Parts: sequence; structure tokens; C-alpha cells
Amino acid sequence: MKYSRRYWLKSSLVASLAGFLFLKFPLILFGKGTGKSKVILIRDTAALDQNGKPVRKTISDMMDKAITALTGIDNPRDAWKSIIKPDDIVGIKSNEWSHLPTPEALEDILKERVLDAGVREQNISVRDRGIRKDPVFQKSTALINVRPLRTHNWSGAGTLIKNYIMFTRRPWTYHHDTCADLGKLWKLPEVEAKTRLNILVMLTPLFHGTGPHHFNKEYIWNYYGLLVGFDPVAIDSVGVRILENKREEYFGEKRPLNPPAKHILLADTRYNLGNADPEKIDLVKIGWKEEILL
Amino acid sequence: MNSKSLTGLLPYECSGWKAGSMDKFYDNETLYNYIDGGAELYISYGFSEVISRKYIKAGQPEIRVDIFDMIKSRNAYGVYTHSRERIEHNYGQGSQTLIEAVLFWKDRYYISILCQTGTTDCDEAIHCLAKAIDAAIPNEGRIPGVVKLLPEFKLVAESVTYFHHPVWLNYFAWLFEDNYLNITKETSAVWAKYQTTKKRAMLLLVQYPDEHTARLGNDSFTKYFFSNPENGLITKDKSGRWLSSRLEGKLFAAVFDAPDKDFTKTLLDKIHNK
Repeated sequence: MKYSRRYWLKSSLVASLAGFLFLKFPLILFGKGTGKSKVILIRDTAALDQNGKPVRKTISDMMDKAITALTGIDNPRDAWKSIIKPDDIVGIKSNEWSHLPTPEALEDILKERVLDAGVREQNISVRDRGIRKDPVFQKSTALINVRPLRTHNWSGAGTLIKNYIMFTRRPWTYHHDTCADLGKLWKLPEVEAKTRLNILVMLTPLFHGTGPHHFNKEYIWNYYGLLVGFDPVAIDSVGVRILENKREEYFGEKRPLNPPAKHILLADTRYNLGNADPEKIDLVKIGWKEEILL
Repeated sequence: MNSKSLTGLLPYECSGWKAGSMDKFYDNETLYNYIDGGAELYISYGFSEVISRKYIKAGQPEIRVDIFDMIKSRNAYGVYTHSRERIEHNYGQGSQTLIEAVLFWKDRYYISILCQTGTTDCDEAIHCLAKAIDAAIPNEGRIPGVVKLLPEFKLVAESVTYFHHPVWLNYFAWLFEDNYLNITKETSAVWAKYQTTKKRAMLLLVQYPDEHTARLGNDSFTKYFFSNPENGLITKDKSGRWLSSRLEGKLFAAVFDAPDKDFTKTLLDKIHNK
């Protein structure tokens, strides 16, 4: 049980804050002790307009449904309050890759929800680059991790696990063996045991890349989805399965990620960060089911 | 090749688009600042410098042109084959035309031309630029010799992928936990897919600088992939697909993911029959 209460207790930060945490957070945050990681896949074809732009209202509704399904708390505001407390200092780790950034609408929605949970505005920051110098991130007690899924020509995939690369002063030291050890990032003191929610944006994922900028419109598609959960490894594992299935559909044959996104499996087996094994993932599908690729 | 020479490969104007702001140059140390996350691929092939120029035209999207000086033609060819999806020879020694983009290689250069958003005029301009750059590179590069050893029988031509960095041993699948074949920049390696209507397999060729190095690579590979090498270098993997390998002089060959023994033997024999 890798993302269990026992896991959190074993981490150094949680060890020092154990009493604090048990008072403040429900066991639901720790996977209910089932040994499985719950991942919410929510899809809605109204999430993108005719020009492919994210529709704020729809995405807001999707987030509400996802957070209630994830926590088991019916009211979205209460659900958010179960994971974010008013005295938290919250860094929302976004992604600004120019071809496929985290949608601004989603960043705004997350900030709103954190404000609704009672956190003061000056204690919230939404950022990608420069987080190491950002006073909110420097003092953060909670992190929300949000980024779109895409293929990547060195790590195999741009994932939630990889999204924390900006927390290190020396990102290139994680490039060895096609970024196999990205899971180690999550053991950095700036990060460890702080992540309250992970959202992998699956509105228009990139399933293949070519050329130096690794982007072409030919290789994105409207999937209209969000993957939401507490376990980044489990979410990335589901996301990559969708990418692999899309690649098979597009190319007409099995076409594994190139190179393989081994950092996801190793985040599980080497760093005990979460569950990559589909057998250990409780995938809850909400909304549009067609072309789901799972 | 210095920065001035790279500049000389670019026209000032094409189809009404003119060179915009100052050209930018990036090397091994600074490429991360330009193509964050994508730099390692180019560095793995060997890379000296890239020039990046923006072309602008009033009321039209921007065009971005990058010319990578890959030091040697084998590197330019390798990085081109790395993301090739189809065989096309519109520009240089091999090209790819995608939505709002043209990619090609010639001599020691790999060229990328991208339109920010698609318009008919912009599409014309990227082809104008490709033609001009192609013409400005006077020589053609040599395709690595190991590629010519591939059997033509049932070869899926666009799958041919040349490399000399161990990372790309896992190009088609996660097969190698480590660099068992001792791939270095001194080796030349190529992956290729072979397919009939019912059968498919992957062929890996590695050409070593000498027979001693080849034997070391072969021994390491054999130890990892074959539990009983004395029974012959052919085995079935967990999914029931066949793997076989062979060493002849400086050339190592292995067939992966083959549907049956005969197919592996046919492929290996055809290499050596050439």
C-alpha cells in the first residue's frame, strides 16, 4: 500500500507533523486504506468551444464533480475544505509550455476553489517557472499540481511527476537515463508530502511529437477530459495508457511511447510515490464515455 | 561551421516574409533555454549550434526557422530519422511535411520551418523558405553504411532509425534495462521494422569500430537476453514472440518481436547474404 496512511507516516515531514495532519485531514486523502489509488476521469464535450478553446463554466462543473467523487463529500466546497485549510499557503504548480499550457481558465478555477476554502489571496500563487524564487511557493504548506499531458522526446511523456522539475535548481541532473528518476523530485523538502491534489489536463493531449519543438497540431486531439486524484503516479499511468491507445488508433499499430516513460513505473517501484499498476488503480469514469480509449 | 556561416544559409526574404528580430544562436549549454525539454535529443546525436530566425509579414502569422548544425551528416540523418513518419523527398535528402511545418535534413544540417498558425500564404512561405535553404546548402551528406546493410525484404522504409546513443536502444519498446550492447558514439546502430500482411519484427544492427568491441557487446547482450545461450541464440519472450541474435565480425544483429523462428532466421540470413 504505497500511498497509504502508513506511507505518509513514514515520510520525514509527516513524521514531524503527524499530529497536525491527523487532526486536519480525513483518511480519505490517504486512499481509505484500500491499497488502491482512486483516479477520477471526467469528460464533457462542452469543455471545448468550436475553436477548441476551454470553456470555463464547463470545466468548473467538471472540477466540482471530480472533487466530490474523489473525496466522497457531496458539497464541492466542503470537499475542497477537506484537503485545503484556511491557514494553508498554497502553490498551484502549473505548466506554461507554449504549445500546450495549463488552461488559464482551469488555473483561475483552482485559485477560486482555494480562496473559497478560506485561504487568503496573498497565500496563493499560480506559477510554473520561477517557483523557487516565489515567496508563496517558498513558504508553501500545500501544493496543487496541474498540467496537460503530452509526449516528450526525452522522458517519454510530460507528466504530473515531471511537472515538479522546476523545484530543483539543477533540472538537468534529472535527465540521465531518459529522466528515469523524476520520482526523486517528490522527495525534495520543498515538495515532500505537500501535494493535496493532482490534475492531469486531458482536454487536448499531445500523443506524438516531431521536430525540435515536439509539437504539431496533427498530433493533438479533443479528448475533453480531466484526470484528478491524490496519487500522481496512478494518474500518469492512466494518462499514458490513453496516449498509447490513441497512438495505436492513429498509427494503426502498437506504437509505444518513444522513449518509454519509465519514470512513471520507477516512481512506483523505486520511490514508492504511488501506484503505476492498473490493478492497483480504482478508476472512476464520469461523463462522456465515447472514444474513451480505456 | 560558425554562426556567420549558418546565417548565410537563410534568405532575408521569401514570399513577402522578411527576417524579423535579431537571429538567435544556441549551443550545447544554452539549447535548454530554447527548446526546454527537447534539447537532450539533439545533444544525444551530436550537435554544435542552432540558428533560430523569425520571419514576419504584416497581418500574417510568424514563421520560425531553425537550422541545427549537427557536426556530421550521420547526426543530421539520425535526428531526422528519429521522428520520420513517411518517406518524402521534397527538400534536402529527406523531408517531412506536416500541418504548418516542414522538416528536412541535408549534409550536416537539420532544418525545421514552422508557421505559428496556418494560412494559405504562410503555407506557401514555408515551402519557399525550405526551397531556398535547400539550395543554399551545396553538398549532400553520406548515409551511414550500417543502414545499407539492412535487408530490403519487407522493410518498412520509414521505420529506419539511425542512432549512436544508448538511449535509443529503447526506441521501439522498453527492451534494455542498461546499455548491454555498449553503444557509444563510436558505434553505428539502426533499428528497422519488417512487416508482411501477417508478420512483423524489429531488426537491430550495430556496427562496432572493431571485432573485440563487437564481441564484448555481443557477450553482454547474450548474457542478458539468453538464459541458455548454448542452446542457440534464439528464444521466446513472455508474450510468445521470438528473439534471435548473431555476430559476424564487427556487425551485431538481433531480431526482436518476431512471430516465429523462420522469420527471425530469414531476416538474419538476408543481412549476411548481401
